[in-house]
Amino acid sequence: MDTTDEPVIASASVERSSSSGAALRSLGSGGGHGTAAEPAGGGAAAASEEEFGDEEDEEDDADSVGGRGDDNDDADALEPSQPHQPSDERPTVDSATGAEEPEAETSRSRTVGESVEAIEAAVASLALKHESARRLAAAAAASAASAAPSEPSAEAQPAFARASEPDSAAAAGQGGDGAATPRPPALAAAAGIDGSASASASGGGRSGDADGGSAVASTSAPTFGDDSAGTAWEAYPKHFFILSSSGKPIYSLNGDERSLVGLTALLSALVSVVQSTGDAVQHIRSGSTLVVFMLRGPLYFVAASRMGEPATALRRQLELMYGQMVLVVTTGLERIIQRNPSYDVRSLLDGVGSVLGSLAAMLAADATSYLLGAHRPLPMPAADRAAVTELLAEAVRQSGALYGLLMADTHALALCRAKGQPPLAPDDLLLLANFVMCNNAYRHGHGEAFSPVCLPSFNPDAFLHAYIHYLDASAGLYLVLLSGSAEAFHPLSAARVWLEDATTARGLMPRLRALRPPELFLEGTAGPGTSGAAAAAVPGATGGAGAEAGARPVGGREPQPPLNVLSVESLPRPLGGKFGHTPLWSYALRYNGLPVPQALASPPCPLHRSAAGAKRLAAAYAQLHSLLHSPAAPGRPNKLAWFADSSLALCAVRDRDLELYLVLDPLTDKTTGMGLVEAMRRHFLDRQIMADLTLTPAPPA
Amino acid sequence: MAMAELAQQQTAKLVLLGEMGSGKSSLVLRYVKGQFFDYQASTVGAAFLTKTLPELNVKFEIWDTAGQERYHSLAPMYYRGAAAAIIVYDITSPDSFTRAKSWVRELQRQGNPNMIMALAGNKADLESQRAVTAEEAQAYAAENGLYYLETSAKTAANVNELFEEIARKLPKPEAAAPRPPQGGIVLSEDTQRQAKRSTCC
Repeated sequence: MDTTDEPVIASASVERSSSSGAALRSLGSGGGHGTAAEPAGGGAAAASEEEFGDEEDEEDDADSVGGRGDDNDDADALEPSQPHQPSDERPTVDSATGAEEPEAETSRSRTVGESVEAIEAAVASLALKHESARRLAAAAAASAASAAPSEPSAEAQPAFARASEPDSAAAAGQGGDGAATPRPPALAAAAGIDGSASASASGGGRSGDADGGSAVASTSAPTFGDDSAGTAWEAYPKHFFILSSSGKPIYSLNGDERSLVGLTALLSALVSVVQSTGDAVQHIRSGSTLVVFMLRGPLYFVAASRMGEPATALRRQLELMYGQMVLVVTTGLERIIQRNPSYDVRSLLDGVGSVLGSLAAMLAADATSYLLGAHRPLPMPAADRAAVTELLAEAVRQSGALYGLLMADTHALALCRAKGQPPLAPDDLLLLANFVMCNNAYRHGHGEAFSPVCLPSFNPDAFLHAYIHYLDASAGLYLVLLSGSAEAFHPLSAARVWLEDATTARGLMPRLRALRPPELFLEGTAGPGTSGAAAAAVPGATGGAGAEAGARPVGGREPQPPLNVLSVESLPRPLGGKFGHTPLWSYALRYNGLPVPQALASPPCPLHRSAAGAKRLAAAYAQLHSLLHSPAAPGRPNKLAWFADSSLALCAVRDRDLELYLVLDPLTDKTTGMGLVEAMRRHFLDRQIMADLTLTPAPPA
Repeated sequence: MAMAELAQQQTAKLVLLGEMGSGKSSLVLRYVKGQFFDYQASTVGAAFLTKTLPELNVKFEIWDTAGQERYHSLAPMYYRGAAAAIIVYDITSPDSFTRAKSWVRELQRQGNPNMIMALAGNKADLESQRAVTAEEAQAYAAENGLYYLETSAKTAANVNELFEEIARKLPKPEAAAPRPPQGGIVLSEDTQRQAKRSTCC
């Protein structure tokens, strides 16, 4: 609820000056504070006043155009006693605006300062950026304000109110005073941002005043916890943007990219300002928000995250986003943009949004899927795997395919390649798996699917042709045969029939079907269909889903035992045991010594079996991985990393054979940690155990 | 699959073309499996299905192609050698009708000259949202020698009629089947050796 925000902010913002207190009081007594449509002239600079005037108009429009219904609903739910009188809005806005101005000024200079300091790559451009950020911000404030879809801004505040539950007792009192003074949502959101800026040093915020502060702020996601992630644009703790070098929005993870024109202009301006100094912007930190840039020819990829992932992890994610796009359209897309920068390539990207969205959800929920850069086998009895690998190799031979993959979700059961082909790159495999999994046309396919796909590491310029067939939709078990020829459908189809028959004849099929890939705890709101084509369906689709409600296993499957061998419970002492009986919570490991590295991870411990928990775990793994892989001195890689805080302890070791990542009870001391590491090494380097865990090298083709 | 009993049948390659979302997959799914889903995931690349019409002794090999623009360059692969094509548009979308016309032009220019072409105005159940009149489509079809029908995959209206009429129009001689049915027979030892050889060189 609007008015509840105010006090919350006041209590949250430690360094808020008395001026804001005064502002709040004036707001509280607010109804008749000023009826003129223009902002109450504070002591702020004329420029910013203008800005706010603009913005306020925008917000008013936004409010009246959309979202009011939602707003009311949510507001009523939260504060049923609160009378809602739209007629009071305008005057209140004015007073609020007036109140915001001095505050906005301070937060502005602070965020600019922060972001400026944080540009590591472009020291020379600091002053330039500072200036230009201000200039750009002034220019773009209006568009950025309109950039945010009206609905999200309207829904932002219930999110705030929910997020700041602990404070809402205080809020309620104030809210009572301020009864009948609902403010336009976006302003409430803006105020919330100020609050969060001072409370958590997050400079985030789409809204006008944060924009005025710095470009960074506008790209980042404000608000508080992940559990507030409703449908609000600002409420998402993480964003991915793709834009062309001419500033055209191509893709946005959340919301509709069309509404981001102002923002993308700002982003591309940031890039080009740094470029004009002969450098390239890498990342910008603003408070807890990290904005990472990746430039690929005429395409700019931008990630903004408050999830606590390090820059290296976000860059890996951007690389995968890029790879996923290439997988669907090849690098032909870049050539088209290069030839004709003003061409709107989104017409070529129909449906790609959902693929990228599902990739983003997977990356957020499972860091071990992409960080380790390794194939990810699904554990199964070595004899079964050998048998099915042999059959797959035969099918590949018979059909003249280049590669044959037998997969369960993103995990491999068997991989085969034709003679002379390089092993499939782990990233390609992950991207292909995501592509297959997120398209229901395959899983519930009504025919035999034959699709062009481009494997970015194999050849980013050309399509391969994939014959994709689910052997068991409920088990997520599917076969992919990749061929270089568009005419290969019939031989591939025949080989699949043969493979299915042969597998059934040897009695392997039921055992394959019994396998279950690990459950992924995806956030409902970030799943496939969040963006692009399905944007219309987004708000409220799974909106407001909390941690538990938002968690859903892929395909709604029952979590099943076959991963037992990996679960912490089933490890031998001193590693294993029930949750709470062992300091080990979860682990990931990578076999470095194999021809193609392979990685495994335990199912999450009970603490992380939710969308929010999975994200925390993913962030922890990302942090740990970055810690292990950022050596203090070049050429002298770290062998050991240890990190502990009040929520968990992290330990990673690396040698020739194995990379180990352990997530431990926060009370674990280093000695115990090292003991666990040794026990892990002994267990997982055991030949018998490795046999069931790792992929069989395919018989020579 | 009982290939033996199909051997004497006439096999006809049939391709569906049309704008994304016009309902190609839904039409095929309704025809082949009698199913309909309100939300049908968009086809990527193409899907292959078969359906036998015993009474007409025809086996359709149906290529349901993706409507997305980016797969346009792959379309010739599917309509090359096709005995029949169904060009689908959505009666509620004038754009999809325009797209259908351009498919017709492309097929006239580059397709098999004896190809049987049908124009299907799909989503006929959405009469209230109609944006392309039956008269307009009928006139266009007559002009270009297309078999025209309005269909609804949702209600199944005219779906069987569409495919059966195409089956009836197929030229009877075996020339209609450019690619004889192969099925499991391909996997003889010869093929294996052949494949082996080709990977070696």
